[in-house]
Amino acid sequence: MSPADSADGGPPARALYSDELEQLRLQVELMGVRVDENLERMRDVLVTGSSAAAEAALAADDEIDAMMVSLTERCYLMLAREAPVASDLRLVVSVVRITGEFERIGDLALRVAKMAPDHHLLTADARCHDVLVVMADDTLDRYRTALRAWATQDVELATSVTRPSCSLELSQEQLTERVLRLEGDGAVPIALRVTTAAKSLDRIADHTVVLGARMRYLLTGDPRHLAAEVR
Amino acid sequence: MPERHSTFHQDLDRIRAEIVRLAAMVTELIPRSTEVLLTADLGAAQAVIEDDDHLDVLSLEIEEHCYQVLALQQPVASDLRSIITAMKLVGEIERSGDLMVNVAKAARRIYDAELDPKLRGLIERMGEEAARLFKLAIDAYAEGNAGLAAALDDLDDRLDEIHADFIQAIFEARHGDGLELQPAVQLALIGRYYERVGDHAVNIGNRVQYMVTGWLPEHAGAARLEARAKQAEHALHFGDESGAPQ
Amino acid sequence: MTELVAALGAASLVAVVAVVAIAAERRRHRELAARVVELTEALGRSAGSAGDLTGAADVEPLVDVATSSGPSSTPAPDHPAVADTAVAEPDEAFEAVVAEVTATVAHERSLRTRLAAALDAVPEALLIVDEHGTEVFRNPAAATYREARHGDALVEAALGELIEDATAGLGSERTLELFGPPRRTVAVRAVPLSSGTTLVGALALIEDMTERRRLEEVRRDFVANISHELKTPIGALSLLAETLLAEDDVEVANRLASRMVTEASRVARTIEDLLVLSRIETEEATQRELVEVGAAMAEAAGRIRPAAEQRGIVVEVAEPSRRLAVVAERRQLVSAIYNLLDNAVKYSDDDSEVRLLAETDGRSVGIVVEDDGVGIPARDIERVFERFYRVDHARSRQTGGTGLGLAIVRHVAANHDGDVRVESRLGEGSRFELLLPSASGPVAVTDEAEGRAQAS
Repeated sequence: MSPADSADGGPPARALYSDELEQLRLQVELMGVRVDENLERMRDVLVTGSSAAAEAALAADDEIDAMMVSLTERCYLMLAREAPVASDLRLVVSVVRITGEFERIGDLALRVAKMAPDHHLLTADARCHDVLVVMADDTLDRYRTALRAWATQDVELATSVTRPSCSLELSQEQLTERVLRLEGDGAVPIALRVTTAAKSLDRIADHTVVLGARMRYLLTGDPRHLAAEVR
Repeated sequence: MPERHSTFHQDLDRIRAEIVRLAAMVTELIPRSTEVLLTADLGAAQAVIEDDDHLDVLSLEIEEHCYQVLALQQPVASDLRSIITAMKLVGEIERSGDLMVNVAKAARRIYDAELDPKLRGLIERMGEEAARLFKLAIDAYAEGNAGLAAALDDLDDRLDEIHADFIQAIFEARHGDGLELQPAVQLALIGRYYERVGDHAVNIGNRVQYMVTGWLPEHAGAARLEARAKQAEHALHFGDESGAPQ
Repeated sequence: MTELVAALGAASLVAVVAVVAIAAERRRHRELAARVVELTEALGRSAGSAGDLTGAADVEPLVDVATSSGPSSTPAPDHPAVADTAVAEPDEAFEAVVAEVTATVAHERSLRTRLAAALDAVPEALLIVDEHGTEVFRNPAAATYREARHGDALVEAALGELIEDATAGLGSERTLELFGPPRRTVAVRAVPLSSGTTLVGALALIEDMTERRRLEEVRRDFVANISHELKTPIGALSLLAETLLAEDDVEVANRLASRMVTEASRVARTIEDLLVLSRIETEEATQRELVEVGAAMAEAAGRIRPAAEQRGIVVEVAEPSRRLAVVAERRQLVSAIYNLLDNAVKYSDDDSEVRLLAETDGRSVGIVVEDDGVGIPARDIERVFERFYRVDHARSRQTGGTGLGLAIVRHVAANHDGDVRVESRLGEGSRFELLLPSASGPVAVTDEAEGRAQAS
């Protein structure tokens, strides 16, 4: 059974808060853009070790948190006050879940940005560092596709991010392989730092896949599309 | 399907029972996949991979039930939080299950590798620790125990430590016993899967805290932002004042 | 498997009989109640408003029970004969029926109480539902599965599914392998219950099969293992002997002969250990005496040292208080400690350390053997005390153990009302503790306590 859109109670009831729903959509997009900026700062830290970028990311993360809290409260209020049904209910619930994913992605970006003081360990092995930067670029790319899917409400774009990235998987294996080849006394701290950074990037990619699946479900209303996040 | 005449609390109890059941499938999967890995049992690995479908089906069912309850009962305040939390928990539990399926898949890739006892022991310990954390997270949910939920973050440190030891042991096995590169890579990935189950347990803890208290970890960030804004305002204001008498 | 079916069958039979008995009693009760209704009406008709109302008042609660006994309540059958008597001699007939009903109710109550108590006493978890799937009975063993978590939640889920099938008329069973910890095997079974051709509900049973499964495995493995342990060296012996017969080269012949000696001594050791084990198993520790634990430890350590030293393994003995003693058969005690040490040495790396110590809490004495060896996988830890159980067949062949050492330790412990415990971690080592009741009296105190006593 899929929630049928035709079950909507007719246009007048809907018009009452359709403006509010549109506002909600825009707010989510804005939050997504803030997260995007922090992902960019994360990449900057990864490449240059800039402590200024790390601090900016730290401050921006509080803003992202505040947006998430206010969006969540707003959704709860709408659920309680308007008692939306069918596709509107799906939208409001999806917003709660999507902002949650955005927030997690922001968190993970910050985790990498906070590694600025250990930048010398991340760059100690040039090949490892290269792969990390490639991974960061891939992750950012996919995230932006997801954000564009939200802004344009495009099912095709949303679907494209639900597919796990082959290039990321490849990078992950390359990196692990390289890490295990490291030798000498400093090998273990370098290995741990590089793996930690890679882990965060990998998880950002995972959350992006979930974003795609959530958006696709929102746009199609078919719960089977959620299964994508699962595989 | 929630029955038309059921009360919200009956519906919520049912959803809670379904989530506990979904989680039980994962808590079982952790030792099961670990054994598949340690015994290199390919048949059992295949069974783990196929059983994942049950987990996926139940996850979707629970999510659907949550939507129905939202639409039919229109809960507010903490009841609403409980339903939204339930929906989010399904995601965390389900992804933890996927991670254990990944362990079974990795077991297929390294079935002929000889693992030294130290590596095997650490794998056992990661499995035990991940299962322990996961069970505690579900206990916290079933009991609505915010204290236990909050403690999960610290408890996860132990799994992180074992994971770090495991990476170290892989290095030693590489250089000492001549563990091949490919199995070593797979082992490193496997270690990560266990560690991430721990992360999911911590996430479940955070969500349970929110369900019980209405407090999100993000509230701290939001509060900092507000404090900074006030400070800036105050500084501006104070600047005016201090400038006035002169 | 047949045992399982038989056991489940027996338990379910009890329950079916119980349910059917209750159903039959209830039907009889309903019939009687219906007659009471008729009689009351007849009484009302014949005696008019002056009728004896006290009797009717007594009957009322029974009528209530009858009418509220469920949706399946059948309409009252006609009893013309009774009605006739009622019209003829209402008072007498009425009293007779009231007496009969009272007796039946009392009988049913006591029967129900007994049946419920009987079902409560059944060790299997047992659940009965009505034909709509609504729970009507759950014994205490089954109550633990209500609102269960973790593994038990899966048992409860299976229970729900099987009951659903059973109320649709399909009986089935399912075996769940739970990884725990602890590991468990649980069988869930549900059968439809019918009275005549009508489905009246379903019965479900949950049985913990863990112990039975374990014993089956032990028995099966023992037979396989003993033949392996004896056949392998004997096969090698006959092969070596045949080769030796055809061999002219003295050097080769010498090498063959020395391998024959090795194989022969392996068989001899296995047989010797089997004899020791069967002696310990059959005759209990009869010749008990007060044994100083430190002396037994020193004797066992002395016996293992040559083998340990050959591999550079140091056996570190922490000498306990001379007052630490147990009542034991000395030979068995030394043999148990020796076997623990032998096991530790065999599964340790060269140039490592094995530690032997003793401790007490006043009630029991623990003799501990620790090593830093390969350790035991969690899944095997329950089984290492079984005869011939091997964690790793390849390795046990190299070490030359008989596979009986730990079985001997366990039997010695059992003979002395003691216990043996093991903690182990793969790659880190194992810790075995032989626990024996401390010899009563002032002998069993630790050094610490002794020190404190002297100081004060």
